[in-house]
Amino acid sequence: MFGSPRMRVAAVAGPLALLLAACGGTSGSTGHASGPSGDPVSGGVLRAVLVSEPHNLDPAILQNNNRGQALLGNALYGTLLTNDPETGEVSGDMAEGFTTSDSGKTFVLTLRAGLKFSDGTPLDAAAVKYNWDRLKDPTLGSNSIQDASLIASTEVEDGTTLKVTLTRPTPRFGGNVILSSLDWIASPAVLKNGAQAFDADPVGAGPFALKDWTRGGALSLTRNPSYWNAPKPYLDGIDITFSSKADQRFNSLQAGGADVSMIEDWGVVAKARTAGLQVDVEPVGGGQYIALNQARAPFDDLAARQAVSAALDLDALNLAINQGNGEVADTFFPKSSPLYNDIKLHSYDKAKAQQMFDQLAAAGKPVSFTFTTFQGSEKIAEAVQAQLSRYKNVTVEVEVAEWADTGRILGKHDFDATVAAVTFQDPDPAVARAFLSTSPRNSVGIDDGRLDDALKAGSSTAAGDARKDVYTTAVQRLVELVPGIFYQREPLVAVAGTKVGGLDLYGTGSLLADGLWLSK
Amino acid sequence: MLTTAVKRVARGLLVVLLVTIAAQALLSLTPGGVAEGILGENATDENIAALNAKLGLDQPPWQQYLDWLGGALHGDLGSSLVSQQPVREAIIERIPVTFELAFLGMAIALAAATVFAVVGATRPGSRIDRALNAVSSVFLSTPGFVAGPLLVYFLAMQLPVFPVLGWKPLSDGLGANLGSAFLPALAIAVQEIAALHRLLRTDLISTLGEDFIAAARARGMSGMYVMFRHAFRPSAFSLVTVLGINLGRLLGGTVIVEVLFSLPGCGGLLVQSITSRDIVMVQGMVTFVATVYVLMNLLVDFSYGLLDPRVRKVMTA
Repeated sequence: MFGSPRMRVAAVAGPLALLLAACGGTSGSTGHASGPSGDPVSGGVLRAVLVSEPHNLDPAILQNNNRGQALLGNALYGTLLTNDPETGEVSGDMAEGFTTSDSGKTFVLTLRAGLKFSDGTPLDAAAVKYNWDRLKDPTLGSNSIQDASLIASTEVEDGTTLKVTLTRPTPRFGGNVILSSLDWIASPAVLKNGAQAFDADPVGAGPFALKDWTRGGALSLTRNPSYWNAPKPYLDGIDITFSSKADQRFNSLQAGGADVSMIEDWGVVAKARTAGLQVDVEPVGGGQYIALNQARAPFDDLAARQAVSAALDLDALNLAINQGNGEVADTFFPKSSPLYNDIKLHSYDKAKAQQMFDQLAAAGKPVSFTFTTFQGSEKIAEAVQAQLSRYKNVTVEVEVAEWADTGRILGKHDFDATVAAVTFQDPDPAVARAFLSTSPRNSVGIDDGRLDDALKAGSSTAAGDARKDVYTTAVQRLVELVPGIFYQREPLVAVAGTKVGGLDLYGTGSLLADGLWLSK
Repeated sequence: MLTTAVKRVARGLLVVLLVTIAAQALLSLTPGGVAEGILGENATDENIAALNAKLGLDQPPWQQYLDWLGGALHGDLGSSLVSQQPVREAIIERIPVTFELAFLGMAIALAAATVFAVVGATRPGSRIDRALNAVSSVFLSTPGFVAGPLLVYFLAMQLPVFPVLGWKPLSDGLGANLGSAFLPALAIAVQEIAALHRLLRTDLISTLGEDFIAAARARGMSGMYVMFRHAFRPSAFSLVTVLGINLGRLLGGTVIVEVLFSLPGCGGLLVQSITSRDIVMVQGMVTFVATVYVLMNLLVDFSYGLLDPRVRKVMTA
């Protein structure tokens, strides 16, 4: 998760240990309230408020994450695979299996027998092939092209079996599937009719089908009676509205105008807890960071990066941007991760920072940079600027760019410092995507052989202590090279009223639709 | 009269044309493009070039504009580069929301401003007049993005009467529709009340000092009759002008309020299109907004004649 409209500076909640202690939903979540007890009951229409409205309903365009349209995608198209948010372990859903026998060079996807789209046509291996192959078209504008591009070829073996050959061995390619649109399959026949026809009738095999959509307004879904996993879905329908303002979404929940929402702001998460709402937090690693561009001065100099890092008091940043409610990313992996190590990502040392700034200035390289932030993420840039203003020999300008300019700024490395995020349950592919020297999404321009080796090994090593060791090496290199300053975990949070049951997140804050229910 | 009308319409069309040229020029000068916006993290040079070619954006801006204009003159405003939705369909879909908000907001503003102005003008300088002026000053300095959250806090959260966000179409019932429209309309009305109240109050005080008003009072007519039968119409010139211009602005899209309340109106569409650099949708919206503005100004001009016969004679001459 790097760059793009998902990169944002949010606000924070309590420490992770606390987050993992209590329970609200089923995803290792926490909250001051819990959902209804007992067996799920059928009926009712759930009102959800999501962050951003899709431009259209093509699964290739929908974004499978908390800030995107994950709930909508899961509702319309179901999920081939999901994962356990605690362990990251991938499991089958519409797919019975997704296995490799050659360490990730090829995979076999086995679909459940008898899967049908909502129009009665079969969801077979050919349908998956069509969806996965088209995702590779760059002109489609899919956010999932990186994941799809790992696929060299697909071959239909029979109605329920698809053989997938990858461009390079990727043992955990299932992780790519659940983090992207690869998880969502739509009817090829309807997709071929063009965007307009598809938007009018987006045919998938998910628990819900489209009832109506007023662009810019509301989107209504109705129960798909032919859903494969009866008695799910429990709801008669879902009404979805959209608001980019986390506060407005929370207000709507608190006032009883909505039942569930995704919240990407730690400050609002804290409010939701105080208000007694259900809060389901997904434990993730990595986090949001201040990306320092090594492709040009001043941050092509390691000393400049180290100086800025040492100069920043992350607790004070947390106070400035989250009123102290944030969860500072002190280690790369959460304690619940099998890859956890206790390497500290950041050390605040005011004296050392000033000394380094002075040394750089004496060498004719005073640290002066522009912090490019994006609309809605100004707080972090301003807070950094305020903190650094207390030091000599360092100057910071703040520049606010539009989201439409994200691609150019990150893709062409046209920034000194900016906000970014790398968030994961399993570090592969997210970390390699952000920091591998050959990755097109390596916006900070980091190029380190040892880090590359560790990330490649992490990608190709199946599991166990060996994998933990290589990621420990990777984290050490990230700490030593300071490609960015991790200042907080990314909040992947579902907030719901106490009548909502079945809150279940997977991937990067992707809320499943079929298990949701409303108590009477 | 007819010649005057034709000239005004011709000028209006020229204004619309110039506005669309300016829109094309401005968007061409801003950094980033629709391809970069769509591709986001995957915006490599090759991908951007491929998508630009697919969308027809590899042509120079003047060529893109002429292509668009050719279609527009035949009634085809094109399709969104981002969603592929036909522009005309998108605008038609959103007009009812924006128009309802604009007219409802203006109706609330006009009603409140008229009461404020009449009460104030009847007793200028009195305590109640000063109090109303103070309220008006507060309203004037309360923009929509401040009024909106305040109204939400008091009327949707503390007193959960209205929804915090979202829109209910008329097909869901009049009550539900007005319920979803009331808070945003009120947020729009707040500043408009102040502007209209001040204008109308000043003009009414001036008119009430005229000889023909004294004559009417001398004939024993009641205060209210004199106010609404004799004073109101000649005092409405400035009010109609500002009402028309402001209504034109609101019909073009109540941007802040629509975004704040997540309403499916023209303002939200325009903002979304500009931020995603969807030039085709922007051109369509700009054409629509400019046309609404021009039409509102024409209506205001011609309404002077209805308000005062002397103006009608001048226009005819």
